[in-house]
Amino acid sequence: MIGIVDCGSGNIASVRLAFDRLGVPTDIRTLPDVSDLQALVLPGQGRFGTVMNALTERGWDDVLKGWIEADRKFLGICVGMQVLFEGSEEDPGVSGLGMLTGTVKRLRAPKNPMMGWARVCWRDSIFSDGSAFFVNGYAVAKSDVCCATTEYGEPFCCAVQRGHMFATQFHPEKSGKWGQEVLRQWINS
Amino acid sequence: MDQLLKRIIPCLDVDGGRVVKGTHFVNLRDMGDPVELAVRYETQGADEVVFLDINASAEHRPTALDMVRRVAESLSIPFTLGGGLRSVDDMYAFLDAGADKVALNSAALHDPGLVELGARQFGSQCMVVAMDVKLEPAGYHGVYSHGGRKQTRWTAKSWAREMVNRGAGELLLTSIDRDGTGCGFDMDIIEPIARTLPIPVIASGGAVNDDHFITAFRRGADAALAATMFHSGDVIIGDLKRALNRAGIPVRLDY
Repeated sequence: MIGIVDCGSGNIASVRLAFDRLGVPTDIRTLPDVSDLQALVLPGQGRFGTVMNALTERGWDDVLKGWIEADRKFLGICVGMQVLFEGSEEDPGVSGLGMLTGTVKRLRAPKNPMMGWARVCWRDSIFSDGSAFFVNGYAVAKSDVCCATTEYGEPFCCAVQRGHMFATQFHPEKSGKWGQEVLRQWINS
Repeated sequence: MDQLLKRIIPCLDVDGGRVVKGTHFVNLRDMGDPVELAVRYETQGADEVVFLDINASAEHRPTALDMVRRVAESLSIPFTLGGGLRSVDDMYAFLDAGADKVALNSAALHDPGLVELGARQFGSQCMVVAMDVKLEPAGYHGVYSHGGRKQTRWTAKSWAREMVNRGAGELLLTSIDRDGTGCGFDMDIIEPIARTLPIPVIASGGAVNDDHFITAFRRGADAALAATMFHSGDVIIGDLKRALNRAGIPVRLDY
């Protein structure tokens, strides 16, 4: 069973439906009960601080840290990738989970947020290059575990991978057939 | 690249849960099931789909919500629902049912604060403002409400700016003059707005061929929308995207 973390930020339905289309059973978890789960998905929409505060309030922060430190299967999406880092320019007073080094920064582009499709180029990965759907005003420029890059105003890191921890700045659940394939390969990896 | 791939958006006018053809409530013709049609467009390479409930009412609300749920189950690309949204509760209902964005038109003109409330609660990324504009004899473009029937006090440029300030995440800019004419998008108003505002602008109204899209994208539109030219089968989205690609416009081809 794959658990989808509900941190009250919405957009849980589209992630669940994407796994439904792949025939993969999921369960939405509001409270951090993970004993029966093989994998965890952390979707995230909205502000960095709002998502982080909701995770802390519900007791997810420590559970997620433990899960990732134990190298269990994890997928973070959008803000669900950003909270893995130390913090974000979006909410400077709020600490992230700190699983990865670096800070999330505002994208320097004429139109912000970035909202639409962009090409994703993987580095040494099981996934194939393609176009992904993005909705974000912030991102990490670099990461020592970066596994994919894209460009919007400037190049940035749009996916990270370390062991069984995987996270994307884009929305695979909204990235058409290619996005479905990313999810399928993640499940089978 | 400092810009995103240019988006092609088919628009489905729906009435009572069916796709209809013919605008302004005349000569409505049943064009089929919205979910089937939307899935076909996704397969053909559509980057997003817009559904406009042209006859939205409280009575039809359950049908519209049911359609949104079915679309969310089947589509793996983003979609927008417009028509009949008058309150934050209305917006919540459709976003909760699975719509990625909601589009406000007359309701925003009636109460611009609604856009602000929606943006604060759900985020600007799901707030689309649809605006219908028309060239006035005095030489500026005016904004119309109620399906283009009622003139407002706003000019297109001032309304677009106001909506950005209120938190709109995207503008769907339809030219009433061009709609249904086949003369191409009205870039005289779309270009200055798309080039000066910090949010994406979707060109709408008047397109019937590849060249109209090429011109719109060369002149700054972030996305372009059409209905009849896709429904009629005159233009297949995949063919249009390949034509755009040949013209040097960046589009998503791996669908």
